[in-house]
Amino acid sequence: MNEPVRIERVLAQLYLKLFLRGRSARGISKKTAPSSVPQKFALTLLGYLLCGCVAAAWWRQPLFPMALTAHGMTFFLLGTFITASAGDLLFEKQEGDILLHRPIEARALLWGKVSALVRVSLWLGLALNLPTALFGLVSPDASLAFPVVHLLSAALEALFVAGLVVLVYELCLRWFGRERLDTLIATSQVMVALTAVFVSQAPRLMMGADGNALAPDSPWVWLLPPGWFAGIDEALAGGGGLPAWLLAGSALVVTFAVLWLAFGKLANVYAEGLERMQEVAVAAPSQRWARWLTRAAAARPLVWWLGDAPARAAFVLSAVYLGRDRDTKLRVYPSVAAFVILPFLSMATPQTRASLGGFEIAFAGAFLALVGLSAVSVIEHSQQYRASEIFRQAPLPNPAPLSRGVRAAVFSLLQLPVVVLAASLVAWRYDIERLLLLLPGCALGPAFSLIPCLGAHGAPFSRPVEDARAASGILRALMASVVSLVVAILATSAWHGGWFGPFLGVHVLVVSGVTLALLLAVRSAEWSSLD
Amino acid sequence: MGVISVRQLSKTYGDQIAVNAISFEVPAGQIVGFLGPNGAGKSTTLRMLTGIIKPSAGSAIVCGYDVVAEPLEVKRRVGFVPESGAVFESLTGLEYLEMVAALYGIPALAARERIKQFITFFELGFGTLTDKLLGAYSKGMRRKVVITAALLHNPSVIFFDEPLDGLDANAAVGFKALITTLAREGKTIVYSSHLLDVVERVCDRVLIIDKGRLIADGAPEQLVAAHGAESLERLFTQLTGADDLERRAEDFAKTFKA
Repeated sequence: MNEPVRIERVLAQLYLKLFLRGRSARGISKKTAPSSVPQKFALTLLGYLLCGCVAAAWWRQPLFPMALTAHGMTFFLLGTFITASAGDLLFEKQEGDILLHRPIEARALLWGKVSALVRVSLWLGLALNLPTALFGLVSPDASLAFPVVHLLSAALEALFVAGLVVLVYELCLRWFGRERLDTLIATSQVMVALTAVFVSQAPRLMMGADGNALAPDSPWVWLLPPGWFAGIDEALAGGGGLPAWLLAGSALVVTFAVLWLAFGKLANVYAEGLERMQEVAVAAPSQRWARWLTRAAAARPLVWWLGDAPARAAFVLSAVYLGRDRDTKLRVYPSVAAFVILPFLSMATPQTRASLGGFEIAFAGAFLALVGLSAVSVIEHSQQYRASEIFRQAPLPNPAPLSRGVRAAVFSLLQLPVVVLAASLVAWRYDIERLLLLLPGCALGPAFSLIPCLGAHGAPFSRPVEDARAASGILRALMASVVSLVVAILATSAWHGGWFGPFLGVHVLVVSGVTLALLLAVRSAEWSSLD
Repeated sequence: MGVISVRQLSKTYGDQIAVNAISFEVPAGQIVGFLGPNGAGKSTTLRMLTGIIKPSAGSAIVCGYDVVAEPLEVKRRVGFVPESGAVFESLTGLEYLEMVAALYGIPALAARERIKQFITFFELGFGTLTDKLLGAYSKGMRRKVVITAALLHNPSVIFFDEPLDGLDANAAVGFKALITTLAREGKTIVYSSHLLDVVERVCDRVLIIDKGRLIADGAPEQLVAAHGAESLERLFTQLTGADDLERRAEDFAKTFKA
């Protein structure tokens, strides 16, 4: 009656369509939605292609370090992308009501999802690595086969990353019960995102520490997955040699092992996981945490900031969801991980202390300010966005009080702890005086966290998740990153030039003015209409 | 043995008992009303009978197949309209229905014909199915698509969980006529609803579940007579311990006067 292959094909097409269109296309007509999809995806591919153009910096460099850095970047970008996407794709709760009562094997369902994930990952991976493939041709030890070999190794790496992310989820499902599943999946996702950031940065940091660290025979390279894939490039299109061939062999063996485990051996674990998702959660949520948050919101100093009851309610809601809601955790923590780990890695690495002259501290302050922007915009999006109509039913002229609650929650629970941690690290590894270098960046925090609230936005969990993928959001984050970088460079120059005090004064004045203007804009906006 | 045969079926979550050793049989062509207060275990039972979740104990045979041992065979023969009415919102109605048809191995042309029949029945324009994404449908229109998706593969047993939710009066009347016709043709229908008057009119038999236990099973008029109740609604409130509703409503209203 049914042909399994056909069902898999139907599901693969379905999930690719859903992935590209988004799941809840509220109010979008077919005329606009499907036509905008290729356009949007083409823009994303263009973005990845432009990111890949940093390969121009390795012009005429030896092949292996260049390939290693390119694969490190691929690991980071694809790792964070797949990690963030896989949660929504693999564990959509409502899907049970749509598909689980139909004659579909869990393996077919998993294949359908993974096929979409892998296809998108391959496109992104290839777009990202195309510039390296071309620039690599001028490397002194690259053969003419390099472009093809590099694109193949990048494709293999994309498969490896997709398989690895799925495998991590399956292991969580296998080892832990439903009660702890939500927490553990979110934790594992954060860990995968952190690993991706670390692995992508490690070659750069090692390059500074030890010039020989990036040779194929370095023991360090064996610890980094991008090293295995760079081994393929070196073996087939570079100088070759036994170490490169061994790395290339490892890449193949590990990739196939991961794919076999994730999509073969443990596929049935996914079925059990899906079933558990349909069951009622039995673990009672922590009332103590919610009660503590309610008390904290009504007490000084938070009450000075929050003021009215709607802001306090939004604070408690956001803070509770940061600790309790799987969907929120899956998206918030990986998205802020990159902004946290990069500055910490820079400050914790021995050679940066000597070589960067304090830039890494200013950079840390400025990058940690981006945590607010990222988290506030992620919290605005949710699979449960329809529930937010309650905000519009309430007698509130605009979402400003609600966004104030969100910003307070993000500041108290995410931003403040990481800034304190960064300050402790500076005080421990440098000297107390250099703590001042954190200030210019930190001063950007309030302004950055107001940016996602402009245009009557910022109410918690009020927009569909797919809106978060809009190009405007990516552009906003990119521009804020550039501002952070410029401020860090200026602060470092001012520090060494002896004019840090005046710089800080002017900077704080300007940023305060901008923050005030943003605050007034947020307060004066009226609810935007729903599509 | 009936088309549905349930023996000591239970579902527990930790130490919570959602469904507690219920047993019943449903013959072919019967329309069974499945009633119970919120959280009684109705949806959990329907999810076990449709193979979405596995029972913790007991057995359930649907169309001759065990829901645990042969879930795919069960799923091929049942249709399910879930209470949530969930759909993939970024598909058009036609894309969604064609996808569902493909999952049951229905050839594309045959699927298109069946879809046309259903949209004629529900008075949906074909343009609505092709031009708008499901996310832009009204609740009632979406419910019609979900019902169509449950019936496309001509199932022998159909489980409805609050199917009238969101349907307008005409569609609701049409739907009631549809399930009566389907039952006459030998389909078995399990109908879970809070609309007791509808259940009383449409169903041959009523199962009432409360706190996971089956507390009543019989024809509506027999149950009403046996318990000396005025109507099925009164019987339901008696059996489920909610017979002081008027007093509670007065107490509730008093809170605003204070």
